[in-house]
Amino acid sequence: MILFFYGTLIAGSGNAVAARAHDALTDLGRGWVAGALYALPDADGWYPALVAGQGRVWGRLYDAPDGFDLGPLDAYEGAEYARAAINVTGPRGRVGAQAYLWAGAVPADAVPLPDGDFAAHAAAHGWRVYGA
Amino acid sequence: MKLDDDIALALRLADAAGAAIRPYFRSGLTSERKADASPVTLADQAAEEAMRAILRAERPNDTIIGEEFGATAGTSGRSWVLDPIDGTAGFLAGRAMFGTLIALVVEGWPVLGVIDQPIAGERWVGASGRATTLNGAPVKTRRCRELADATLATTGPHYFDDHQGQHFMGLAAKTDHRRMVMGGDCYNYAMLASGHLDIVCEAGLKLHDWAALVPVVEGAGGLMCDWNGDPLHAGSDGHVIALGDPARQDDVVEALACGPDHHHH
Repeated sequence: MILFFYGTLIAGSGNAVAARAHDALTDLGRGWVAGALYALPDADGWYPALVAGQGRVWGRLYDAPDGFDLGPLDAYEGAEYARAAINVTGPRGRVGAQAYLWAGAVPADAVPLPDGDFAAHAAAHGWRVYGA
Repeated sequence: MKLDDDIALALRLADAAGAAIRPYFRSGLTSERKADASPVTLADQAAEEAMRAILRAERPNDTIIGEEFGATAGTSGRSWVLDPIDGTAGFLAGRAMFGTLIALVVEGWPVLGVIDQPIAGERWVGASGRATTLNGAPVKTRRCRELADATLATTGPHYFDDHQGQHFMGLAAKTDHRRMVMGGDCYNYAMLASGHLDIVCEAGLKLHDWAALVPVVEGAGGLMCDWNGDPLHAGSDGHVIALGDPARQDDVVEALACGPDHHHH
């Protein structure tokens, strides 16, 4: 199974849930999907929302071994996100991947990220990533 | 690193390259010959060195990949890909249709591209998530409802081997071939971004030939891919298609796959 992460679950984000998951995951490189990306503020840090749109949203592809338990990730993402099968364009072409998409309306205080890259934006602006 | 800062830096690189190139244009200089017999000019080397000097100071951890001086490895996962004069033959022929190409490539994906024509003073800038601009004003590719109405461009038939040439002619036969244009190198892609051409099709391009073109074309509403329709990544084979109207992608890929011998019924 291939996973596509575009925010707090990317390896090295500092997020504790992500860190545990990455013990079992193998990085397959940078990839993108068509969509629009927003960043949401929270007392515990910033987190992103991927919704339908025309731009490119950048993230990373990871290979999960057989038997990888998505339960902790599903629980972490909660009701705000819906896990869905999407097509991601990666270094070796288009692949099917599981990704957590924003499930509801984009909140009014969301910040649009036209560059489509949450990790780069957070690093460039010194943002604390949620859960880090 | 913020994308805005990278864009500003890319514009500085283009300024420096243009200043290095302009004194040589139509100056009657003689050219040496590289092993591959393509003309290399003093302007080419001066422009790349000027850009490298800026990058060494401003982005010491980034990789630099230049057409003239090769790769200087960095540690950041980001690469500046430079082609100081794309279209050297046109440059030596006194035609202001060459361009300075500057790309920022992150893990193999181009995210920022500049096509700069320093004689005409035309500069196209494209970046991930941004609208492509020509001298600061947004540009858009044009619609192309039928492949038969498409204007096709390629730099020259001598850049195709026999096999590639047959496939290219298969595509050309299905476009409005009375309007097909040759020559131009990167300038064709700039014209496509600005809505004057519909398709550019080439083979054998290197990363430094195409990386800067992708953000420019796609930020103007177009699409770039390889001859199979797959997105262009640093690992791509250099068979490149640019489309002003992404809706024609399947038509173009299909026409290229057939070649001229297969569309007679």
